[in-house]
Amino acid sequence: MSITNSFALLEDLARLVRKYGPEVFSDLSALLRDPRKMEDLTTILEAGASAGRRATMHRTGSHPQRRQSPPVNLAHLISQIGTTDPERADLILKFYEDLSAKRILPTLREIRGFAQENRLKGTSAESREKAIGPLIRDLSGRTRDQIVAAIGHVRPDRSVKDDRSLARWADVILDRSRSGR
Amino acid sequence: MAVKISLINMKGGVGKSTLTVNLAWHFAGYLEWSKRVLVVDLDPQFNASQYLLGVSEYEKILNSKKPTIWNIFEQGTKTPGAKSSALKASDVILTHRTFTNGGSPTGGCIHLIPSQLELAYSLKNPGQNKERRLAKLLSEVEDQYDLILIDCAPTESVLTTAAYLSSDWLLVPVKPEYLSTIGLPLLVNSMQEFKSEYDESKLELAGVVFNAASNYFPEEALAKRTVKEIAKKNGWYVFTSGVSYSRSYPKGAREGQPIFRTSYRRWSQVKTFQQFAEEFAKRVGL
Repeated sequence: MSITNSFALLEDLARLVRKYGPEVFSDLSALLRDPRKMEDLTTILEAGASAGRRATMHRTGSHPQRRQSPPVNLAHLISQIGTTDPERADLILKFYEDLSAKRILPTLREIRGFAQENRLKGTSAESREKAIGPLIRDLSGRTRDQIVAAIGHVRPDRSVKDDRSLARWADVILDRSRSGR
Repeated sequence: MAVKISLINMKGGVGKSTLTVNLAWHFAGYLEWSKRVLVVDLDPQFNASQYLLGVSEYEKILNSKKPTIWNIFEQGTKTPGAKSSALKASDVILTHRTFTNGGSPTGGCIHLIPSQLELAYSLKNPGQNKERRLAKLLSEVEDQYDLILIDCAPTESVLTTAAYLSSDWLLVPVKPEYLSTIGLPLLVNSMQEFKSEYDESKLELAGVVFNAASNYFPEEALAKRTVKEIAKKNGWYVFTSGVSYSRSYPKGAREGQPIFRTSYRRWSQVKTFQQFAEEFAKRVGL
């Protein structure tokens, strides 16, 4: 960090110390010395910022193409799991992302069916969006093997990438340039 | 050594290809099975290839002149750009899918020998021992698989003989309706004629499975009863578990997914299919 930037940060900090008081500042700095807590905070802030950007895009009508971050409370939960079991956290996060992007279980009925089959919460939700939170929270309490067993057969539907329409097949079948045999 | 099974019925439209692909997925994809499965598409209508590959993959095969089942039958025939002689199994077999669990391979896989429309030309020009070529090629690789499923064309031809010579068992899907059931005695007659001509064959009828059954209409009940009576009289095995009609099957074919991965899937339909697959496995010693 350059000297100019350091002074700018110091100036910001001094303003915040004056606003919140030296005790709060001192408690917070002690808390942030713990690297795990720092990591949690970063995740939460990033998720919050991402949710803010999503809200802006929703208002302006544009569609986000990047990864979908979980809401702050779910992000915190997944990040906590990640500190002890990164592989399990990855599985849950990937599942969350596919669910949010509707790559899997695209209707409430299907989410309910999945929850019912695997005895997970989320069956009584009134909308698809509301079903995701309880489902992910409940899934997070499972072991890695249980999660794999539950989500193993729910694969993202990538078939849309391949046009399997009759028109495409007709093109292939009726292509006379290939019928030299 | 692979168990080799031909799915065949002299009547078309009984769901042979759909059943072939879903059985392949079941035995390769489910963790408790994780079998190495080879699907042989022996039908010029190439439905199993369409189901598994989709348009883009299939088009790539044609464009790259990669050998298909046609080349097995027509080895030695000169074709522009295609390999024409000394065809090896590895030339013609595609790796369609390898299954993993948590990033590690399960051992389960689906390989495919695709078909193409031109296979119909082989029907017009039998002879030259063409009927033995598939069995010879499969004998090169049968140690590499647990299960070989041959999806047959609904006609009596050199392709049928080739399927018989390549198989240990026949599985006969029958749609429980009048015309479809008539295909059954035709097929058994064909199999008996084959066995009298080819003494060395150990081909057996694994059984008849009621496919695409709705379990409702009286017409269907009558067809089932009739088939069971004929089967009993002739000593043919009829699978206790049938495969019910489900919208998941056509949707799965359109999306290149097995029944248990479509968004239409209903657990009861998946269970019904699983029950049949388990009974089938027991019957053929898988």
